[in-house]
Amino acid sequence: MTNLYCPKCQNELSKKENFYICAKCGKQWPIKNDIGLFCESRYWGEISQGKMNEILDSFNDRNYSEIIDTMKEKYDAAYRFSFDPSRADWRFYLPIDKNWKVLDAGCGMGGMIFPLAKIAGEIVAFDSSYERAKFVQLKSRYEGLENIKTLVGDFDNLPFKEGEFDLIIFNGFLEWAGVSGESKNPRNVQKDTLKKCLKLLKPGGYLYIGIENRIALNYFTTGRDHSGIRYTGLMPRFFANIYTKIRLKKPYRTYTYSRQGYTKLLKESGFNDLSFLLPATGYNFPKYIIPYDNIYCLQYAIKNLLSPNSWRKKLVKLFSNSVLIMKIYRKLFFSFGIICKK
Amino acid sequence: MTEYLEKLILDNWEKWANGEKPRHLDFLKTHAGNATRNKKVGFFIFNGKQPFIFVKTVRENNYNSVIDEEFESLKNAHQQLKNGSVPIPIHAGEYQGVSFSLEEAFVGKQFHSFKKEGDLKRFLVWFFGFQKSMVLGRDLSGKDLGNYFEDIVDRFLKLYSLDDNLRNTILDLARELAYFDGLKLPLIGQHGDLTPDNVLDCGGKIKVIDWGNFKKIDLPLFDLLVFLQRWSSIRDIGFIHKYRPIIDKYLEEFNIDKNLLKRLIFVHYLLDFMRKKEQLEAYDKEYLNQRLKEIKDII
Repeated sequence: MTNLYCPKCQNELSKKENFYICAKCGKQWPIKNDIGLFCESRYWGEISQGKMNEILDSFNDRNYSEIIDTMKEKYDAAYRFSFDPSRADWRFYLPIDKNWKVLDAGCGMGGMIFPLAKIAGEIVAFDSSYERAKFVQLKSRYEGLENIKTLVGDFDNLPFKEGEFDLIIFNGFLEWAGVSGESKNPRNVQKDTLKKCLKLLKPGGYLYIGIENRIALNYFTTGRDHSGIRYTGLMPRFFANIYTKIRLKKPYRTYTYSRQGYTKLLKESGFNDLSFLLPATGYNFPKYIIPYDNIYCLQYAIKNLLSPNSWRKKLVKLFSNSVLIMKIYRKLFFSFGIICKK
Repeated sequence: MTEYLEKLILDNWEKWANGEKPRHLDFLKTHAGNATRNKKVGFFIFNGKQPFIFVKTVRENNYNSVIDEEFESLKNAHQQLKNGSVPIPIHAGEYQGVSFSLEEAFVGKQFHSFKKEGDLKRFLVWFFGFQKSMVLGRDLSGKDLGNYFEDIVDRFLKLYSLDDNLRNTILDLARELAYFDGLKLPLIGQHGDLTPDNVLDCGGKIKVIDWGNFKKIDLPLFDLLVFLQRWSSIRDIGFIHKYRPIIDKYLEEFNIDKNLLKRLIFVHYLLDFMRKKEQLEAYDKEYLNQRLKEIKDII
């Protein structure tokens, strides 16, 4: 399994009974139930912390299939996020094999991890929430997957050496990176995060990003941005910041971008060889994955595969014969899957 | 995986494709049907404007047999139906221990988006032709019927794990319904998943995809009932009334005793529901008995 390194001085950590220690600087990090804690746990998720604890407690006195059934019945969103293997279908676009080491930064309830653990060598499930990391640990034990290591941490406290990973996953992660480091511009925080990620990758390693499109069509109508309110993503950042400070009493820091914006950000951070995918209906549950660069793939999907369940989509289907309309529509697609190479 | 498949196809371009060899191919990932959605994944491979190959693969090697069996069924269907309505099986192989298969991609509109009577007639012309070519020339006696039903139900139960009580209930019901003295049922090979999603209108010609369950069931009427029920917006057994003339025509055409209809419809229901494991999990004996009563009342 991946060795851990001191986030401060990059010295290899020694594991003691209930903590990791750096022999060089003497700093210690606690271990709780075999999960290393490299930052203070901050809970977030599809279900409340109380409900999450209920699920974790149920592992003590119920069998695994009962737990799954209860989750399915009572916490459908959490169940789908954790158990739907199609969430990681973008992995078919990468040459993953049994020698690969993968880091899922912000692994949540492990939706990406479990399908990948069956094809890759080793997975590090990294999340800032202890409860979610604990869920992943328990689930991997019950599913007999021994190649998953769970850790609590964030990008300010990375216990890994440089050049460690073949693939890093940022699924629904990069947009939240700017929330930390409040004194800095969120874009710069995101850029720093990407640069750290670049360092962790082996030469030729991949970064996968699943993220919303800032100028997605639905944000012009009813869609809510990550701030929780409408139109903030579309506003110039300066105005969005004032607007959220007035409405929500907090600054606007969850930056998303258009395709051009992501390209610029990633290139400035040192990534090359970018390829964009259009996950339909969104990057969290990609029933279809359409290559961005071949406009005829999008045209085919709209004409033959996607069911138009809103007036916007009906309109798009009506004009799907026009290559020009398709070229405009892909720029306004709800979200992107981005594969980039070191 | 897409990188490997791209190389494989380009290396075999002269054998598997037409026209000038492109520099690269594009992969559009699609989803599998509800019953196998957690196991299977499909990709349309584009050479420029149109897909020309469809790839099927599985998410992990535990499910390899799904792809291997489906490819064998497709080869079988393609060999037996030489009217161009079955995709050409191209190649089956493994990538890092995971099975995949390549077949001709049909480009057309799914029949579920058609609602005119004329469309149904076009489908029925194809369908009756298909069924005529699938008459196996064997009959099941009343005595054999029970075992045959049980065998089919059991095969489906193996695919979709069920609670023991429900499994026994279903088998009991299948046995009970199968008993029928002195009658013969002709066996006719079925597509096995003939939903309107799997029937395409390709420039006016009917083409059919997903032959993975071809001839796994030889019970006459099975495909027709699956198609009509999905085509109809009627969710319950009422669709039988609406399409009774078509069903009667089928029974006459293939010389099937009308007294067997009840049993065939029941088995259709049973198998169709079993394919949707998630739905079936919500069913109990009471529900099945109620459905059985509904079927008896109608016929």
